[in-house]
Amino acid sequence: MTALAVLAGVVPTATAATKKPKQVFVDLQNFAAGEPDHIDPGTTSTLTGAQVAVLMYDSLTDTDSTGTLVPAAATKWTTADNGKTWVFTIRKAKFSNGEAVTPSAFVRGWIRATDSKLASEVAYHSYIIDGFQAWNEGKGPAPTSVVADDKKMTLTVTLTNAFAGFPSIASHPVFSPIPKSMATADAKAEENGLTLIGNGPYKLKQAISKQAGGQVTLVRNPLYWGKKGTLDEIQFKITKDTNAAYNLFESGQGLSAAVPAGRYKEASGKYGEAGLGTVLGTDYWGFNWEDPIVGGPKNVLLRKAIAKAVDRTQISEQIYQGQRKPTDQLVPKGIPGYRPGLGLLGGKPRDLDGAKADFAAWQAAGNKLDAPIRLSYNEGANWDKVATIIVGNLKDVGIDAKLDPFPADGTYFSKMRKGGGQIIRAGWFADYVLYDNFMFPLLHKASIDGDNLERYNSDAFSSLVDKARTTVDLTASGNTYADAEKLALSTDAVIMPTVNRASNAVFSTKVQNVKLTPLGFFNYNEFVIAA
Amino acid sequence: MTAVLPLGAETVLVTTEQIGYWEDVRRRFFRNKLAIAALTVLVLLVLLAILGPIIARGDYTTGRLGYELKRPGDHRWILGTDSLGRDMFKRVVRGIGISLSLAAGVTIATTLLGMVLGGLAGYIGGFLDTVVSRTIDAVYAIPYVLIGIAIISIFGRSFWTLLGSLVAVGWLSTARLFRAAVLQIRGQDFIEAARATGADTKRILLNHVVPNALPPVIVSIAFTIAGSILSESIYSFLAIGFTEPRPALGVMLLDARKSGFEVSPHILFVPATVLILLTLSIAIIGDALRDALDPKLRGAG
Amino acid sequence: MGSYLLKRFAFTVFVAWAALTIMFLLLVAMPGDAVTAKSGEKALGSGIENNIRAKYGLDKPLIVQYGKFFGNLVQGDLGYSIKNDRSVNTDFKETFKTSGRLLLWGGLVQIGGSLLLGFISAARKGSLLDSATTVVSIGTQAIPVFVTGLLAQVFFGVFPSQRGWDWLSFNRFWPEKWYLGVIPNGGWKGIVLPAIVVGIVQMAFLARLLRSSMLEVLRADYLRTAFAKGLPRSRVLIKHALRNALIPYVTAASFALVEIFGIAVQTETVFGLYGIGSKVAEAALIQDAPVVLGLSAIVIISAALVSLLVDISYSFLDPRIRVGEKAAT
Repeated sequence: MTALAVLAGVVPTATAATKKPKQVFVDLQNFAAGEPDHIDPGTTSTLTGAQVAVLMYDSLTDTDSTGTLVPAAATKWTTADNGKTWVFTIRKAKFSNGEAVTPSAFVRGWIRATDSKLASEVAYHSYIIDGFQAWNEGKGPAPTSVVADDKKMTLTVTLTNAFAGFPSIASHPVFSPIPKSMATADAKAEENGLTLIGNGPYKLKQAISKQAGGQVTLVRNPLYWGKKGTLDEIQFKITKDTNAAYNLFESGQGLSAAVPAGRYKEASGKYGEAGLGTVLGTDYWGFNWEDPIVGGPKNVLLRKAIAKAVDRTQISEQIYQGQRKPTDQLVPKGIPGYRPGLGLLGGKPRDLDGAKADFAAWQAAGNKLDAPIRLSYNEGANWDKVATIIVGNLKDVGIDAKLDPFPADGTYFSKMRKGGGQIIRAGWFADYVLYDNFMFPLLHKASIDGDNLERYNSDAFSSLVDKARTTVDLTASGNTYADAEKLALSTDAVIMPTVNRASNAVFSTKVQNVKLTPLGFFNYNEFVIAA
Repeated sequence: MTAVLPLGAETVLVTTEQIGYWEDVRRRFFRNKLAIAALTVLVLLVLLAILGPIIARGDYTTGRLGYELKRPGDHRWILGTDSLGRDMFKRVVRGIGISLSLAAGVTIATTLLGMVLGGLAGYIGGFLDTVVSRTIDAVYAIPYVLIGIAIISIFGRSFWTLLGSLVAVGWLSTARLFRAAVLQIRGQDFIEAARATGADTKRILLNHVVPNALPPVIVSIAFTIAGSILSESIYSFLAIGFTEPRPALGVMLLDARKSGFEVSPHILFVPATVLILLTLSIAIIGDALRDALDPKLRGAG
Repeated sequence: MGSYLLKRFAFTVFVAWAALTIMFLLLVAMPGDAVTAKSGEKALGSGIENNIRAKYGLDKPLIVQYGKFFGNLVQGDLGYSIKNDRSVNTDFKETFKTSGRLLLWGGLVQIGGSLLLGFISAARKGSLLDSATTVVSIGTQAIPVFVTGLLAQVFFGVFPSQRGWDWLSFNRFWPEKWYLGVIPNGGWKGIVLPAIVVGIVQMAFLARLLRSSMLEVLRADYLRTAFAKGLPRSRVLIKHALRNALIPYVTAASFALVEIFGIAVQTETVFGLYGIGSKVAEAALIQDAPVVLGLSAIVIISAALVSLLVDISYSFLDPRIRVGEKAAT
């Protein structure tokens, strides 16, 4: 009630004498911790930047709030050869400048996004398409594996190998179409953001401006093929600091905000749970497979002891006030093929007795700890406190551990990728709703030096994943992936998942019809602001 | 380095023969009621830092589930608990010790470095002066955040690297101050007189220049101590200082911000109050010392 | 005076060059580079990393990068941010507007407040206001700026609006439109808290300084004579005491202007403003060299200009001093 009183008079009223007040949404959530890196669909590499991109651009497919793959710019898709070649039928639609969205517009967009000169950080999503990796690395010509037929309105895509999940990958913003005017636009084009012209429900009105009070402004695209956006204008305000942005929100200066750590419970009590749902991401800590103390098959009991000792409820409650739920599985519920009971703890948050028994058995085998085990993490986002909790949990078992902080993300991850850690802070957020999106990059031996931070080198695991990747039937492949996950988590105990990720947005009680997709996007185009 | 600058510290001229000067200083200092109050607070805080860890034994780094964010006075926690359920009293008394030992290290290093480099630059002058002065100007122009980040990226995070980055920035103002003081003294008549009587450089430096340059250095020491404590909290707040689970005051302040002090104000107020008492008492003492050391104010109050 | 200014200019160029070179070396010495700093939970892969290196010339030898940076700097081109491809010149224009306005208003609070408080406490020595200024002056410096900022947000933003006291709520967006570039056109409440937080730290300190130098001047013989001659007290205070006391005050205030930059980093962070200070801090962490070096270059040169102006102002305040004589401070 007080919140409503406070919020009265927040939304700028229409300047012209219109019958209905203009629906202007002031967002303090997305860029609360700084400006976006990019909002260009070809280059955006953060969830917050992509949130703007998906409002401006429709890819071939989309994921709805239930996690189901639905048509977007493509009306339907088929494969005649078990997933090696895909034919997408493109919907008749227009860009916001009136130009027709043809299949060629997709080829144009994909070639631009993967051009080595653009140096997009998300170009690798295209590597599954034949010839795109060589093109992106400057080792081959512009690929011809994507064929547009503008008369029949079809787009034919040939992959490097059969992959049943391609339509899900095609939902990524990097696969957006672009108009002719953008074919040669480089990443600097954003500075004059008006060159970003899309086919989504909203279009860009104002470029990114980093002045305090800077913002990205979107307005409704009247030429959109589908249901027109409900809001007239969306202002994504850029602030430097989550706490400051939240305080502005609390003072009635915006309609949504990111909840600062430590205030989830208070925030959900005041503003409801609509923006705080679980998303397809998991926090975990991994063990360096090559480390003489915690790595390799011979130290599996120590890893199990540690994984069982960690109190996931304590992490969930003390750091996230229950917002992120405890888990002992990597792949979250909501991914097709998900199966409960794959983890070491059978869904329990902690097993102290089991941990003590495993540690005793490891010591009985002639092993001992000479120095405290290092828990490496990158600074920020409360990982220091999570590590502190784990150190305390391990103390209960008699395992000595200490914190090993890194100031910046880049230094941290590049050192971990080279095998510089013992217990490694990690996490993953799904790019698309596919089991493979967790299994292959995170644990496959081909991903060593990449996102396989643990340098987990298991032939048994990798061959299971390889088998699942070539299985076209999604149910059958899901089962194989789940078997692989069980192997990595329960048999080898190479990683210990701790909590599932959750969105951290709150919306003013005036905002109605808020929905969250499992990939973390909100349906701004359907929001309604109550009078 | 910080907001605390010994700007008002002025050079005064005394000779070692003026025994009465230090007696005067002592008298003037203890006439200042505010300074006595500050000294009392500081002594109490130091006692707390020494005795606190003996009284409040036990685990102060690992938390417990179900004990988080207890208000002060709740059950046995006189200052409450933090977001991980750790006793704030146990942490804050150790925090004072950490702040003071860091400040001691920084102050000794910056004062020595500043006195030697600034003093030599001021006394010898010429090329050495140019090198030292231009180095100070150049380093002064570099944002301290960059120096802090570079040092911890290269050497990792520890007590010593934080000390190093505070010294790297802190010696600049001490050296500047000391150089100016020596310059002023060098030009005075009694130095000329000593030279004329054939005293060698070493003797002039030790017998005349150093004692005369001491008053501003004493004031500068007080402000450096307060400044280092403040800097620790700022560096930790910007995530380039101490880190969990070390109960440094800056770490606790940052945690207050990350754990919702708007809901549980004591997690901000406890470390903030201790920090303010600590720096305020030292700064007041420094201020009183400055007044006491300044003979121009003699008899003026 | 001409040769003096020339010398000063050469000196400024040298300091800027030396500082930027040290910063360049620090950025090189840090492990990894701006490209590795881009990789987070999701790795980029060597192909993409190479593309980015080639795009920004990071594949060239260090000496070439170093030369290119200074070559471009001389031509006024600060390069492009490796984080997001935006021109550092644009970054500068946008962040400078914010920082400049923050420093201007903060500076006004600082100078205006300190002149007023210092003058009154010198004129009314020993009064309650005088003692209060002393304690506040030490206090504001002893409390970290970020704590002051946080408390200000809570007491003049969050709490009042929770209770519906809108008049007391100053937690507002930084104004978007400005008259003449510096006067907020609507939304003035947004600048109040940041400006006060920036200004107050050294305001009381400068007030104290002014007070003590005024008291010192008042003891001087010629002022005793002035009083003895029966000149009105107010006239003596303003015309003689204040004017002479302004010299050390201006020196200190110019130092305070440099210090204010450090204060602004914290203020900008606490209030979520995009200023030069917070931008440099953010870029340093991700080793975005063009942003760190480009913005710092401007800050260093501006700081040098300020100190030159201060130098010139000495001769204005005290005709006995010719330009250049006080340069040793």
